[in-house]
Amino acid sequence: MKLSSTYKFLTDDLNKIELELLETIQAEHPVLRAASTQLLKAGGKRIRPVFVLLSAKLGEYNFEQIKHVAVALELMHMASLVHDDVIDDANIRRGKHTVNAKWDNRVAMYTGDYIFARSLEILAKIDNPKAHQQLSNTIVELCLGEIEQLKDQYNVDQNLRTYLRRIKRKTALLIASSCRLGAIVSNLEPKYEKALFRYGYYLGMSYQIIDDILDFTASEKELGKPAGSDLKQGNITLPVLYQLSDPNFKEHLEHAFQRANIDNENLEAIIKIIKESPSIKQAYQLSENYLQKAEKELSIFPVNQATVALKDIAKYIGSRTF
Amino acid sequence: MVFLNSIDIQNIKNKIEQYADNSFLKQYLDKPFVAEDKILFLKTILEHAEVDEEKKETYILATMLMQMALDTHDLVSISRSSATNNHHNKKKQLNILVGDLFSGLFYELLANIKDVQVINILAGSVKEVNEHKMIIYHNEINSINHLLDELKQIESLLIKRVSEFVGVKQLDSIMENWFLMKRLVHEKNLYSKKQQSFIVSILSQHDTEHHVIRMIENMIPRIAYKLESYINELPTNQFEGIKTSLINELKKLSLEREIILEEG
Repeated sequence: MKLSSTYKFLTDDLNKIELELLETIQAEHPVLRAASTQLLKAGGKRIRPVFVLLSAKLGEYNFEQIKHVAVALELMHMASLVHDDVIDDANIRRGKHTVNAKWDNRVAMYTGDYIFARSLEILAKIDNPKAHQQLSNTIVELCLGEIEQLKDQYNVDQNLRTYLRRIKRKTALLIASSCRLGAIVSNLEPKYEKALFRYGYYLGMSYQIIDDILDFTASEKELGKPAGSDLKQGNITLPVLYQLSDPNFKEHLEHAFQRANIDNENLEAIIKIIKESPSIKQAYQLSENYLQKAEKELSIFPVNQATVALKDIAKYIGSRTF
Repeated sequence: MVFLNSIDIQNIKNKIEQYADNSFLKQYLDKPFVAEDKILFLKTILEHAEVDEEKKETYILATMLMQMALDTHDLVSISRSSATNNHHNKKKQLNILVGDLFSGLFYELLANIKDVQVINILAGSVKEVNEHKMIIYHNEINSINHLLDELKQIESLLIKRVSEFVGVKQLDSIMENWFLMKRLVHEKNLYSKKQQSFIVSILSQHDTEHHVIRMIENMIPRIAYKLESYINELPTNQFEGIKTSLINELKKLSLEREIILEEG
């Protein structure tokens, strides 16, 4: 099943959003314009706008209003990716050169700040304080999550709670906010808003856990990057966290981390251990728990095209192999 | 009329510093620089504005945080990190994230007082500042005056947009020239400490470094002189607090220049 087939009925609106995205980042300076559109043209699932639209479909669907939210959220996500690529010294994203690789870090910083500013200008067309409070809080939490991730690099003594808080902040909250914002702007009652927020949150948690699993189990070709990238950067994800309960493995990892830049031989050995351990299955189990919670949140809504799509997205995420 | 109170500025500065008060950040980053003169201008503008009292402090905090977000991002090194220098790499990463955090906080502060209009205004000014930065960064400068105009925009646009919004524009010319002068002093100081001066390196593409520094050194007192006349032209019994502060600062700067000249 392709993800996009679950929300085919949104194609026209998503195409319009794609055009709006491009129009919104037409900076005056030619390099700023080219850099801003670099990531946009590389494509992407646009999953956050999808969540906005699907949630809005459950209320009063006014596309002319909803599109501002969808566009703003995707731009915010893009801005964070441009900066993330500077943080990671990444060369390629979605098969294209990153802004920092094609130009340099300075241009990437200006581009990220520019795109962020444009996203706020678009969102300011929504005169709904609750929407702004939700999103601004999410952005702050996202940044704190990234800072915490840096702090916890190479830390073999972190626990499950730390990991869950980190992925909540860096992934789940923005997806949850996407769902909630769609609900707010379509005037859904608070109980439905909250249900959609929780749906997005649980889905986001599952999504990130599976992402973290796939970093060990998928091939380089499937991932578009070498396997074990998270671990190479010192980021301890769920499969590793579970395996750390084995003192021998913990010692092995501590030793591998000593040079703060894990070598390929050690990395391959650790990936092999993780793949052959019960940790992968345990991690999938936790992800499945979150997905079930996500689906449960949809039970208060009448069954319609949008709720079916939201359920299908949850199923798709659970069945991802890359 | 409420005159400026230095304790209030310190209070605002403390609040801002608290946002980056984190033991992990302190391991890698210097304490964030909070420009008191920017707080001074914002405070003065808002004290003369018809704005709800409870919003004034938030406007100052939000504007300062957004300015600091941009300034922090300017600290990110242009080229890639060395794979072996972990501390340098962490510093770069944290400067990016702290800058992003400051921009998130600016947005959150204004969202919490339900002021979407000012969110829009500051976002617009950030957009413009980055356009101006690109012009300088790509050395698309056709004259010294063009450079000075671009620097004025970069250094004061956020506060200018606030002054426009609240309708207190009497300080705009002073503000633009003040922050331009401070920027030139800063660039000159960087150069004299043998650190990277972005403006000197841009101008040196068309002239010798020695000549560029002499040019900057000549510009500073000229701008200071212009500032003194602008300040003296301010209506009497208005803006007395900021007048006094700025004149004192100018005297200090002038004294420092004389000492440097005497020391050869």
